[in-house]
Amino acid sequence: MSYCVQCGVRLEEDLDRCPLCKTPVINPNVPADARRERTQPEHIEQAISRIDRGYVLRLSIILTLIPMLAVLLMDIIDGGYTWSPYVIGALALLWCALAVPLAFRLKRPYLYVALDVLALCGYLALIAAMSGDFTWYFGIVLPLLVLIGAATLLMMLIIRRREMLKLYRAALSLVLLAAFIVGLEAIIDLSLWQQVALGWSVYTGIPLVILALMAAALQHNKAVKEAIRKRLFL
Amino acid sequence: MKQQRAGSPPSWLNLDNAAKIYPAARSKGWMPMFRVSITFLEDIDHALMQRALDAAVRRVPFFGYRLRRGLFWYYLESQKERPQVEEDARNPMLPLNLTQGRRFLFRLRVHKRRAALEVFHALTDGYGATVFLVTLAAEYLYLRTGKRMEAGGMVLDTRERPRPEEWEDSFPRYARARAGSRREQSAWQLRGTAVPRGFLRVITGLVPTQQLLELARGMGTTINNLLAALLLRSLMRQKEGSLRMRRRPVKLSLPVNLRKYYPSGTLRNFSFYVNVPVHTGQEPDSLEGLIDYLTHYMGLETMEHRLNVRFSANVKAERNKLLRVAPLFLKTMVLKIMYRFTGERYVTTTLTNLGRIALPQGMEEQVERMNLVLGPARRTPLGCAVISAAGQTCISFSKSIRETEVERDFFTSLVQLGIPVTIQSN
Repeated sequence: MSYCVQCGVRLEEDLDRCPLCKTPVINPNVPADARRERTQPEHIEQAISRIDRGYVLRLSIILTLIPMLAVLLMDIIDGGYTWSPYVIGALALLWCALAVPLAFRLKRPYLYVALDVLALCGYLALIAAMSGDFTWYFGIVLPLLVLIGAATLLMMLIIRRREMLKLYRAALSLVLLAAFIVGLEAIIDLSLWQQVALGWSVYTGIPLVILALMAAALQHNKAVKEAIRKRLFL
Repeated sequence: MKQQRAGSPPSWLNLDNAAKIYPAARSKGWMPMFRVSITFLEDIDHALMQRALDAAVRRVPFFGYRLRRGLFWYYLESQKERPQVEEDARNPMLPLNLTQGRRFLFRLRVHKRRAALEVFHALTDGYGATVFLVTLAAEYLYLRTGKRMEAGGMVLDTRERPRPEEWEDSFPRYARARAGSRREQSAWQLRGTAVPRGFLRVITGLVPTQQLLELARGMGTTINNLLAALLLRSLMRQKEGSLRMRRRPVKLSLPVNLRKYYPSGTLRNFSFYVNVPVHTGQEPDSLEGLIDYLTHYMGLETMEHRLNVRFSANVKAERNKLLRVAPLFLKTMVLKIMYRFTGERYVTTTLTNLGRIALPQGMEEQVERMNLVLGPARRTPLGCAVISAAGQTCISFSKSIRETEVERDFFTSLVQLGIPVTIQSN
């Protein structure tokens, strides 16, 4: 028989610490390995999953396929594939964006972003194919989408690196933002004038890089950090 | 309710007035449940327990029913399947799977010397479940020893036919036309670090009933009021250290068995509750003061006409024509919202006391103790349940947070009052 030295309660013999205050049970007369076998069951029951993901996935496929087939049929009755591919493509895009994250328990954000960018590229390629003109697609849309997708993935990578110091993360994010703006202007320039002549993006990028350098420097300067915290506390 | 023939159980039943909200309020991850268990002196024989379970379900047939969706309401329907004894688990009261396999609204779990009945509140209340478990235990002991326990009190004779009053919904029968308001002030809520999903921490204190009774009598009160006062004091101490919702009162919900007021023989839900508030700045400054406050407050609020006015409001709402013709999915939505924004919002925690369970002669000697545990609530992270049997009172705290300050304060207070407490935990 053991008592908790903190709470004064008697403890069931299979307990190795007091459930009320977590104080370990030390009874010189009863060594730990001599304690009785557990009175509570060892078996742990599995909880029913709150969302049956397989069911959600199947249901979402059915709910997406029904309007797809309906518009396809209507379009065929109207005399050809004139407008249904737009609707079917949009529904497929919506399914990729909404149903896929549900099916994978929201733990693969990089995959979802990559899939969404790919799906959007595919949908816009479909529109280009339907209109018979790929110049705008390859000229500006595809490079822009690739740039946005890459920047989003990199930004997520930086933000999710919790072990990195906060101000370093902020500095890297600012540098990435500056690079994104420069890339944006380069793509627009190439698309409009077939050559790169950087202008406004540099003026935006330089302050961002300066801010990034300041953030990185601030990370090391405890006195300045403390002074800022002191003046800005709420 | 469809009656097959006189004296035989109906093929289906309406949910009783109190149960109507529970199927709507539940989700796949949560269900309002409670657990009542009995610990024998010897290990349980599973095969005999299965036979005892079959006999108990024949005697109280609505325990074998399943939950079905009607167009306007949920209902209970009889089924040919029979419930099976299951092995107990360390994480009690996971929601029952009502859509697959054997769809019963309870499960019987066995581990070594203990048989535990985990019940979905839509089926019955603590009293009904205890009657079922004690009847089952008496039948098990009969099968084991060959000596039949004397029926009476909470033990039903399994050779008798079920009686219609046992599945009656007593709320509309005893409700009167006067109905009061159900609105209350929101309560201060405990907060803490959540335990992993699917787990419920249970800390049980075992106390000798006789010593507890003597202490309560010495203080001029009942065991129930003494324990309620101690719990209220522990909660108030917690609130003192918290900066959140300071203006809200600490409110302790105390369920009341309505069978004490009305000659009802029902084994379905027939209990109500009194929420005892302690307002900020008006806290009694001693345990004796708190006991006095509780005694007077409960004395007033448990007067028959006051309870009747309050539960009549629920019956009146159920009879509302607009509500009745609303399709089930709409009702479910409304009831879910009502439960979320009113139900547990008015309560800091619940203390339910089933009192002393009188076991028949010959049975008490073979029982070590009984225990009652409340299931996890949706909003309130702590519940407390008390039951006395075979000379032991079990006080069980069940919680969905890691912090243990309230129960530590509660049990150490008992120790300081000279009551020995033995602690168990899962």
